Amino acid sequence: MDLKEKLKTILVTELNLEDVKPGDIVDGDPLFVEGLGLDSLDAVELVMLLQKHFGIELKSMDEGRPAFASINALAAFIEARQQA
Amino acid sequence: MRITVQGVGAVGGFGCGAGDLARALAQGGTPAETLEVATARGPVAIAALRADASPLDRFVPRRSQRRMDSFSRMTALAACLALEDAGALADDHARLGVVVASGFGATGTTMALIDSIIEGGDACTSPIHFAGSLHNGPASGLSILLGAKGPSLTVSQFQLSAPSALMAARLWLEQGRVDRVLFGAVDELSDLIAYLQARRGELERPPGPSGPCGEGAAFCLLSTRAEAREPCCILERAVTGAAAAPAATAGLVFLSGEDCAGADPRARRLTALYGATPAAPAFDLAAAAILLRQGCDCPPDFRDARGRAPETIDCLTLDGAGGYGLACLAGTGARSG
Amino acid sequence: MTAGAVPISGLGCICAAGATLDACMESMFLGRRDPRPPRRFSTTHPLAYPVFEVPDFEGPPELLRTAALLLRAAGEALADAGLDRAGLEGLRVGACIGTTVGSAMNNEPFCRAFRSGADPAMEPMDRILRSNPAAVLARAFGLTGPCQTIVNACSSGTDAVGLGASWIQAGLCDLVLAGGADELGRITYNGFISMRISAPGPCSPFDRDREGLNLGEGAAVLVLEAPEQLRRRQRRARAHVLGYGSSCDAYHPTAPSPDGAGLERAIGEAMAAAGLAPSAIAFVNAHGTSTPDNDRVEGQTLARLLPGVPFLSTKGFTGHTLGAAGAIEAAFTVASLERGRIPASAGFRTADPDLGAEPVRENTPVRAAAALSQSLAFGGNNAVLALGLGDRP
Repeated sequence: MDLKEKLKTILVTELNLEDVKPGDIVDGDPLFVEGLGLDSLDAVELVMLLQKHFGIELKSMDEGRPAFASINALAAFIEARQQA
Repeated sequence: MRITVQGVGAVGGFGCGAGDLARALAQGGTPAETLEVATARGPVAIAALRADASPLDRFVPRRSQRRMDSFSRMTALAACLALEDAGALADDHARLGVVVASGFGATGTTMALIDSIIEGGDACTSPIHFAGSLHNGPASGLSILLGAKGPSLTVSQFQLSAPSALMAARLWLEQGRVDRVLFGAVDELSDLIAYLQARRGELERPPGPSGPCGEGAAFCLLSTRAEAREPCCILERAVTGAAAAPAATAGLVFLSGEDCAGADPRARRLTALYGATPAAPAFDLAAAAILLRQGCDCPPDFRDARGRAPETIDCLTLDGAGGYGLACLAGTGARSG
Repeated sequence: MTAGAVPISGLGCICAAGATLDACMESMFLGRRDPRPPRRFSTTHPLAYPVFEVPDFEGPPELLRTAALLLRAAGEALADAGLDRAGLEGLRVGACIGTTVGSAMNNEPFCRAFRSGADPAMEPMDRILRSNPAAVLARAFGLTGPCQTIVNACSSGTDAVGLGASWIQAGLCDLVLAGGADELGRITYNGFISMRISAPGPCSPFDRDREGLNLGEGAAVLVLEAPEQLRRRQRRARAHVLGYGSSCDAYHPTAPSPDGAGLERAIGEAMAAAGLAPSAIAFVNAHGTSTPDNDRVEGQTLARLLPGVPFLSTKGFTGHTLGAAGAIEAAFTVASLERGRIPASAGFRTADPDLGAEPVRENTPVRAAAALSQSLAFGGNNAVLALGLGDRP
C-alpha cells in the first residue's frame, strides 16, 4: 500500500469516519474545516497518529499545520521527515 | 408549582423507547444473554442484558456520531426518545437544563485510553479517548446536539448517582433556575465492569444487587411550564440522605441499589427488565411514569389486590450503608399529600 | 445582606501553594511557586512537563489520594468554623463535592494486569469504590443530609459551592460541606499532554507567549451555614456566597466558544443573583489555565464585560487542579477579600494584545467587598461565583 493509501486508511479507521471509504478521499482536498471536516480534537489525534504509525514527533501544532492541509501535504511532510 | 414528567425515553436490554419498556413491564422480564468473561482462571459466565443504541441513527446523522462512544450514544438516544415522547423534540432548547447521572462513568473509553498507552507508550495516549473518558462527555454531547445553553450537571456516586442528580434537577426547577430539565442516568456494561461482575465475590462491597447485569440509559423531561401536552405524571418528591430512609407511602414501591435486609417488604425490583445497573433508579422512574400514564390500562401485575391501578408510585434506592434516595410520583388524577 | 446570600463559616485548603489556606495566601503574596517534573510517577515523554504536587502528603492506603486531600481540607474548614463531628450531630448536614480523577475507574496497574489476562488483586477497585468524595465526607463526619459528587470536569469545584449554597437556600440543610478535590495522576498527565495543551515550562496565564497549562492537585472545602444555624452557634460568617451562575457553550467537546457568550451569561447570572454592579466588584479570580484558547476567550470576555476590574489567575501558583480548582479559587477569593489585596498573577510578563486586558502584575490592594471566581470546563460548562465579605453584602 502506498503512503497516501495508508494515510487515508489510518484516517478512516482511527478517526472513525464510518461513512467514508479511503478511496473516497481526494488527495488534494482540505482535511480540516472543509473537505473531510476534521476539527481541533482530530488535529491533536492526528499528531499522535503520526507518532504511532511513523515515529514522527511534532514539537508544536504550528509545525504540523502546513502538513495537515491535505493528504498530499501530509504525505510530503512524512517523506521529508523520514529522509532527514 | 408542580413538576411534571412530560415524557420518558430509555434504551436497555428490553429495547428502546417507552413502547418497548411498556411491553417489558407487561411481560415481566427480558430474556438475558450469557456473556463469557475471560479471567485467568477460565471463562466466567454472567447473565447480561445489553443495550443496542443503533436506533440513534434516527436522531443523529451517522457522521456526527463518529466520536461518540456507546456510553454517549445510549445517552443521546434515551434523551432524544424522552423529548420525542414529550412532543418536545423540535422545541427551542436554549434554556433547557441538563442533568446526567452515571455510577461508573465511561469505563469503556477509559479502558480504550489505557489501551492506547499500553499499545504505543505514553506518547501514543489518544487525546480523543482522553476527552471521551471525561464523565461529563454525554451531558456536553447533549448540550451540543440540542443547542442547550442552560446549566448542565453530571453526577457520579455509584448506586446513588441518579437520586442525587434528580434532587438537583428538582431544586433547579423549584428555584426557577430553568423551567425544563432533561434528567437521566446512563451506565455501560463495559469489559471492565463485566470483569468486576465476574469477580464480584472478591470485592469488599460488590456493587449492586445480584441478577443479570444491565446497561443503558433512561431519561425524562421534567417541567414546571404550563405545557400544552398532558404529562405522564407529577414528580412530588425527590430526596436523598443517610440514616433511616423515609417510609414509602405509595401503594407501589420500586427498589433499586444494593441488596438490603430490612427493606420495605412491599418493594419490588424491576431488575428482570433491564438488569442490575447503577442507572436503575432512572429506569424505575421511567417505568413508573409509563404505568401512571397508562392508568387503568396498566398491566395486572402492577394493580392492587382489588385490581386498581396505582395512583402513586415510589422509587426507592438504597446503597446498603444507610444512604438512600426516594422519588415519589403521582398520576395526574391523584391528589398530592 | 441580599436575600439569597449564604454564609461561609469556615474554610480549608491544601495544594502545592500550602498545606492550609493561610499558608497558601502567604506563599502567593511572597510570589513563591515551585512547578517541577512529577515525582510521584514517571513517564517516557522526551520532555518533562512541570506539575504542582502537594509535597509531604501521604493519605491512608485504603483511600484514594483525592479522598485523603479532601479529608484534610474538610478538617481545616470544620475547625475554622468551630465544629467537629460531635458538633454536627443532630443537624442536617450535606456534602457537595466536585472532582474528576477522584471518581474515575482508572487504576492503571489493575487495568494493565486485567488486559494481560492476569487476575489482579481487587484492592485497587475496592479503593476506588470506597473513595467517592462526597460519600467519604459523609462517612467520616457522620453526615445524614444530601450527598453529591459532581463531575463537571474543570468547573466541578465552582459548581459544588454554588449548588451546595442552593441546598441552604432551599432549607434542605443546616450546613453543607462544599468543595472539590483532585489528585495528580499519570493517565491525566498523559491525557493533557496528548491534547497538546500542557506547557513544557512553568505556566504563564494570560501572557502573550503562554504555551499551555501545568497540572496540579489539592482540595478545598467551604462550610456553608444557614443564617439561623450560625446565629444559634453565635458565630459570624467569614464571607457569603452572594450568587452563582452557570451555562453551557453548546459548542465543542473541548474548545471553549470563541465568542465567550456562555461565560458572559454565567457572569451575568451570578451578578444578577448577587445584585452586584461591575463597580462593586473588587476583582475576578479567573480560570486562567494558561492555554492559548481559554485565556483568549476569558481575557476578551472580561475586557468586554468588566473593563478596569482587576483580575488574576492563581493557577500560576497551584497549577490546574481540575475538580478542586473552583473550590480552591473560591477559598483564595474569600481570603483575598479579607486581606483587601490580591497576589500578582504568577507567570505573567507580557501583555497579549489579542486579549484587550491583562492581569495584575503585582500584589494589588482591592477595596470593594465582593469578587467573582470563575471556571470554564471541557465540555463547555461555565460556572461563576459571586463572593462577598462577612456581614456586608
